[in-house]
Amino acid sequence: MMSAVNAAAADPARWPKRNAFEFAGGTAVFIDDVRPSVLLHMAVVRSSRAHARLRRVDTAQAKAVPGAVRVLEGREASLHLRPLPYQFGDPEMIGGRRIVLEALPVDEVRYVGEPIAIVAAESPRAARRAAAAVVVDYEDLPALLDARAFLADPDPIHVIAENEVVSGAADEVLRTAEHRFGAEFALGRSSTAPIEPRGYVAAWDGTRLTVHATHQQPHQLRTELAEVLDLPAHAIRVVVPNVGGAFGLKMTGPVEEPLVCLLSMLCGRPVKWIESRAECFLGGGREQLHQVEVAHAADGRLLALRDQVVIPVGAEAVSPGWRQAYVSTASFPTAYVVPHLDIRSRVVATNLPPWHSCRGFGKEAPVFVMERILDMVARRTGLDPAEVRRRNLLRPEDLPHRMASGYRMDSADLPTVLNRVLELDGGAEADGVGIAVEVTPEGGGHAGGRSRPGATPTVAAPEAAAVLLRSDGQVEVRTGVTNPGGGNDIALVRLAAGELGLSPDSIRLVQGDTDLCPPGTGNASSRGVAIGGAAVVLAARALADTVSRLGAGPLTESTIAELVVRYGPLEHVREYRPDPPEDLEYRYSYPYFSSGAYVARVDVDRATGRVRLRSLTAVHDCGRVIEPVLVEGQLHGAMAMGVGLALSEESRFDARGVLQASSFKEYLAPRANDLPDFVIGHHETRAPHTLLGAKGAGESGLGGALAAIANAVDDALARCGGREVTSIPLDPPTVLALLPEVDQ
Amino acid sequence: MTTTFARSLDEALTALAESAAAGAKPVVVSGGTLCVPAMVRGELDAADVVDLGRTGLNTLAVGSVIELGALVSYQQVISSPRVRAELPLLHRMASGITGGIQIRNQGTLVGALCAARPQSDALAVLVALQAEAVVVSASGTRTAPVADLLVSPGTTHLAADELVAGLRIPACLHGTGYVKLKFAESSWPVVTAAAVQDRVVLGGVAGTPQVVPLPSRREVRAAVVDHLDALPTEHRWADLRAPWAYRRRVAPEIAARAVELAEEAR
Repeated sequence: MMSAVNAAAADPARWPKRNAFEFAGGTAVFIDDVRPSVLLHMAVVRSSRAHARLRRVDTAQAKAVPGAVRVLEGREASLHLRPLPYQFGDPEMIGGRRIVLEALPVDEVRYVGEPIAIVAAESPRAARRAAAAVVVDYEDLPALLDARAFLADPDPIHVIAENEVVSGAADEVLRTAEHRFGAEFALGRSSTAPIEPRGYVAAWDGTRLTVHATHQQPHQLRTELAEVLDLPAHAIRVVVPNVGGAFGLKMTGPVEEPLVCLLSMLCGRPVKWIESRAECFLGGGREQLHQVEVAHAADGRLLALRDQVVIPVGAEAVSPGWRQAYVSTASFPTAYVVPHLDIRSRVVATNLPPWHSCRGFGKEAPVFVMERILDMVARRTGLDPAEVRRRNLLRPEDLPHRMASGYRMDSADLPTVLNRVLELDGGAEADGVGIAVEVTPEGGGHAGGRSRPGATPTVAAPEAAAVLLRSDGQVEVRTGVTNPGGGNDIALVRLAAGELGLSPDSIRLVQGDTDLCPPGTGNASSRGVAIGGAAVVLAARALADTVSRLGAGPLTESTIAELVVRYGPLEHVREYRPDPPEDLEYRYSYPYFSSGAYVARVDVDRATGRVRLRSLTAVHDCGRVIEPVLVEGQLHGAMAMGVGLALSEESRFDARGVLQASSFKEYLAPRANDLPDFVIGHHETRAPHTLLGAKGAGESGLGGALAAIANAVDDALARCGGREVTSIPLDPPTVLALLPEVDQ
Repeated sequence: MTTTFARSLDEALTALAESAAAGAKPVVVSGGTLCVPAMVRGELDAADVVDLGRTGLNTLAVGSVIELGALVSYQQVISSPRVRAELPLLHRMASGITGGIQIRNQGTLVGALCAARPQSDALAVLVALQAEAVVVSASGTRTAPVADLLVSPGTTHLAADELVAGLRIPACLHGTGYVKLKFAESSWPVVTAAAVQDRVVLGGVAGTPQVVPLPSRREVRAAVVDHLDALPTEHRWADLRAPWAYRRRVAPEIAARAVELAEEAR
């Protein structure tokens, strides 16, 4: 007999996803299931040197490998391809220098794993064999692999951007304050590790290029390909099948995107490239070094913060990854009031693989640093960590709040989410308890700061939706929002169904097809429902109005079919962008801030340094919660990723710059058995500038979870005479090194 | 690459002998959970592969000595009530094997032995139980203590034409304990300790399992410290998961915990 709990769990209304089993069981169509006839397979020849001049790339032997159809190195590729365009705008907007990069290098390689040549062959194995037969003659050059090496010898040639966020007189306050301390913090490099790596199938038919891609941003990919391949955009169709996770990895920019298309155009056959797991783990981000000085009052109030930041973003790139460094700097001092602030970051190019966008998008590092600082203040003042936070948090009446960077925090109730998570936390016995408050700027562009005089005001990127009637009695919704697997499709369908008075089963959603869907930003910056959903609602309302004016009565399968016969599909297209703030002095950036508070409880094995997470509790505020189950699913994923970053995930390289963590046996993402059941509460502070009052869910949770866990480990260590936590991941060797040896 | 899907042990041995005579270094596949992915990734380059999957070497016989064939999976060990009763140490180790349901059903003890990886779940336990390997080739059969078969990380005293057809493990009913330290569910073990009677065997501290005799159960930590400090530098094991200094610091505690479990199981 089914128990009451099981009966509730089996209620389909509670579990809205319709295709969850197909995703979990792998029967959904993913990119590798796209198998056109006469398909060729691409393999990539990658650099084995961290930094070297390319003396010669010899493809003769590779061309002779049975099954090899085409082998292409940098010089030949550059005859066919234009340089790669910058993604997300000009680098100068965020204090960056400009570089011109080709898809394949001609003279110099800059990291181990950089593509040098590509092969198209009749089978994946033949392609790999031919790739292995390409002979590269290198002349090694000095390599910079470590941010600490840069700090020891800070040659400006490596600095690709500098950012500063300054307000007040931090120097003076730090000089004269009675209570002050310094600390150094380090975050390790980590990756995104979706269950499905990248992959593309390009098919050129002589006039038109169709690209299937596991991708977040089909329209941006189309724009990039048009530019690099010198084709009109309308000659390119990008189609996104089901996606097995993205987390930033699948934004536009990796060089394999134009390369697989070029091979298809040169060979006149479809060409597929599926990334291997080891290739997927080359990419990463999030690594940072912070040297902070803090001044505070005896009552725990923060007075001044100086932070000198070094952010090693890997090899210089035009893809969006390096831009996360700007967001880190601009997001200080997160949820708190710091009257005197001086944050200066140097963004450093190294000879590791370039950063790719990683869930968190730079917002996690400042949360870690600020939350460690608040705990350090609590320890030094003898105050309760929660009380120190209450004394420094922005209050609801402080909002909207213009941060020193120019970011505008629209709304939140930070003291309430903190108090609520402290109530919700079960208080389980544990060696250490840590709390964290997180704010997550979401939903738009990341460039902040004041507008330049005379510059055109920047506006939020829109999303668009088309809603139309189909002759089969269904309603079709086409959206520019794509689904990375988290289920935003369900939210969009239910929003449309609600406006039209229909069952979700009557709605057919089309996503991820540049021929069918209106332009949009795909999935990025937690805006799929808050902004994309608003466009769906507006288009559905417009259609409902029209139907009502036509006197057609309530929509049913038969009335829809009749309407199509009489009037056609009655397609309505609407675009939506969040309300622009009236203050044009500043560049438009993130339209809303999600927020949350987190409590972690951990046990620390004093003899081994092994940390076991006992509980993790969150109260999350993403404005109006439209689909609680989907929001919680996003939050579960972000918190699990935060656990991984806090305790075990690290992209490690050896002294020659060769990736060591190239599989899930070395890159330790948490599994279900590593995690407790998360406890989640919602608090709704409706977004004042979005139609639905919704904010973003997806990125928030990562920084809060990792900071709360770091603080919990620190608490446990402090109780047994350990040193303070200043870095993540807190793997057992790191934790054990913080513990006194006498313990044994 | 040639792959032989041998239908009997003899067929496998013939294929091995031919390959070895031709000067190749054939790879023998039992469960394949380590070597097949390594071949797919291009890390293991084998001219000849001999797959034992159809040889029927999957019998698990329990008498005064437990005999298990080269294809016996961890799941067979876990599912056997006799193994649970008469080799609780082996049962415990198999139950916590690193990897999910697929690894438990596909991976084999003999495969783990032949892979000779310091980060193995199994090796310290096999050495502690004084397991013997049945080593066969086209020219004959020999038995060798597992401890003697292991040379260094990834290397065994198996000739190119030899394979391990099975293991013989004397029953060991009481007084055993096993502790494994790893860093996440997905992680390979970092340090393992198997305690039996008057000794504890450590995995993950050196290239091969280290047998530490215990003159007294109260002096476990000191005995382990002395043993590790006497290890020649070139035998000290470190990998991506942890440096030697970490292993040196935690191993006495892991050993002591294993011995404590063994005491409780007396």
